Amino acid sequence: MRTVFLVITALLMLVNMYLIFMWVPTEQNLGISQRIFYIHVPVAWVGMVAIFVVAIGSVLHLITRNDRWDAIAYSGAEIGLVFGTLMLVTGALWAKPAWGVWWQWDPKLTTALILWFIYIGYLMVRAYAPSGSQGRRYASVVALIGAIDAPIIYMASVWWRTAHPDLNIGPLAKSALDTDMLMVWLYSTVAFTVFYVYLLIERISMRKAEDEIDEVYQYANFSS
Amino acid sequence: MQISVHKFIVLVPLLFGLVIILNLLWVPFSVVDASSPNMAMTQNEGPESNLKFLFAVFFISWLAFFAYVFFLSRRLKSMKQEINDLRSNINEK
Repeated sequence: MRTVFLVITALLMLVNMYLIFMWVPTEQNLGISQRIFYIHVPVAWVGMVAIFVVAIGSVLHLITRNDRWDAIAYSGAEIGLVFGTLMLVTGALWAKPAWGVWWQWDPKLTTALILWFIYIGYLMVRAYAPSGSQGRRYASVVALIGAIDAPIIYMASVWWRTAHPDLNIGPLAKSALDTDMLMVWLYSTVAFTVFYVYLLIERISMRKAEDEIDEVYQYANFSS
Repeated sequence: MQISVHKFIVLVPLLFGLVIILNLLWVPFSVVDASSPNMAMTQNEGPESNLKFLFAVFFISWLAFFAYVFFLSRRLKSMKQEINDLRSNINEK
């Protein structure tokens, strides 16, 4: 089943690369660097969705005490950090040709950086807090703060004056994307979301195995 | 083993973040709009002038994804080894 998922993800990504490099028209003002949009925005989307997965998994774990939810939360945070890091890196690489600077303290970028630190904070709490439910409780608070930050990132260009362009997708969009560009963006978002789900499934199964090994060690320590 | 993996996960991005923050100290923080001089330069140099940035984005993104998958597969391998060790220890007892 996982192999089938991997093959589907790989095919989606291959078609995605074809669409981005060969099919979609080049934007007139930004030139070829505008194609970064089809990677940067879907990666940022996944980075923001992932924090909701972490928060929901954490809360459900606290309510149900089921370790499966905790495995989802932890795995989601680890993969979210990968996507969050790429969101910042690809953003900086697009900012340089578009704005002339790698970074500026604009609200959208600053709140995105806060989200990245929240991912780091979550994993640090999980790594260094007391093992067991206490560490998981502390970490779930961090995840909930992240879940509050994600909508702020999305709405930053509506609420504040930012260097980022206005929203051009969704109900609050002020300008419309070209149809071909919109189609490629939607496809790329779906492809990266499927890739995220694949990584999440792999990581969750690994997390369960890690927990089982820990339990065996604890059992062995009690027995000896 | 697990603690060192956790430290790796946390410390590598943390160091990466520190490098970014240190770099930012040398970057001008002025707000630049779409009609900035740099934007005009981009238009004058033609659509292919920023190919290196596009290349960097794709190279770094895929490098990061492959590195993460490689990291997962290595961890899986070490876990399998650990399970085998545990099995052999239990059988000995």
